[in-house]
Amino acid sequence: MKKTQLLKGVLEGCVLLIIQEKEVYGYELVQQLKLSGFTDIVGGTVYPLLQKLEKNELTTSVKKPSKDGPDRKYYQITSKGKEYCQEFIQNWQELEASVHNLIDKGGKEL
Amino acid sequence: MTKTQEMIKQNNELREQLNTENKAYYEEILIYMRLRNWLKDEEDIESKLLEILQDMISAQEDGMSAKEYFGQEPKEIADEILSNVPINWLDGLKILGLVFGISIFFSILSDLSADQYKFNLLQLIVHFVTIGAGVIICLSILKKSTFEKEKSSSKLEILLFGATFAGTIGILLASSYFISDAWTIALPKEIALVVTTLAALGVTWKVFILPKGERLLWSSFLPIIWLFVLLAFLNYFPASSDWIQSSNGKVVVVTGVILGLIINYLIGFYAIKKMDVD
Repeated sequence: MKKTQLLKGVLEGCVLLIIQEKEVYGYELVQQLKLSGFTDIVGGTVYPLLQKLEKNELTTSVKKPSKDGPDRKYYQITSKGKEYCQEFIQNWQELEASVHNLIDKGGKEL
Repeated sequence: MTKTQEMIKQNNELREQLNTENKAYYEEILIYMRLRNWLKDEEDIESKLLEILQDMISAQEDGMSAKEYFGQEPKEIADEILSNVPINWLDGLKILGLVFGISIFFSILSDLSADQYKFNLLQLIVHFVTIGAGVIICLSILKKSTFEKEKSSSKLEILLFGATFAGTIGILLASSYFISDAWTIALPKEIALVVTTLAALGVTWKVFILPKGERLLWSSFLPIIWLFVLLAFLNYFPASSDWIQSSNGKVVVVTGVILGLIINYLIGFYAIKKMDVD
């Protein structure tokens, strides 16, 4: 099974969790994901995702001056985004527990 | 300068910071996304392009290549980004307006000999659709070739461009023979002259305030537009009108028009090819 497929639904929540921690720009976000262990992530995956988050009003963006060159687009979380994060964490924990149960069960029967 | 124009300018300057390999990779994405923008919100696309460029420069500073940063599937990602960009009808209308203006001039050309200027509405619509389709086909030929590894396809590209161009002109010229006169509206010559001149000035002004990259492409229509204005004036005064309708005059007019079209084609082709540089 391809890891990317499994990752697809989860990545949105993970990106949001990073943005909740602190406002970031695109490259920073990709670096954060990599540092968190998502080493296969490429920048390209992130841009459509950021568009969707903004479209769904889970994030907003502001232009802020950067030390070199024109203003950079920073992403910030909205209150709707914070709610989404809570739901995501809860859903993930439930899912993780269920998957864990199955894996443990399978392990015992082997 | 509009926000969009400013972003294009910043993009042009920033792009120089990429090394050759990274720049080539980024410019494929740039051309691909810009060619798709005729109905999509231009400002949104430019903002995304600039953001990606800034991030790619940061990646380059950290020793990563653009490909390593952005991934192996730039076309798929560009498609996905574009699908998320909202449609901006105003941007689309602006381009349609320009095509419409050009169509009017082609319509004027088809009726030079009459005492009155006649606008055939149906013919105007046919011209409009034909020119619009020609432009869209040319842009999609270009778009298709953007992410191709083999650059040898450019011969086929030129051939397709030529065929589209010939087809467009063919339909434009032939349409006057097939369309009924029932759709014609007659205008006094004086009014037609004023309208023609104002429209030509309007189109010229519009072309010159376009962003640099697009300006060259659209300016390729200017020689032929002003040739029509000149013809309209020559046709207005009895002395020059007689000459235009003599066989000598007709040969000169047709030669002039063909020359104008060739100039239009050459500049247009060159401009589309150079769009990524400016």
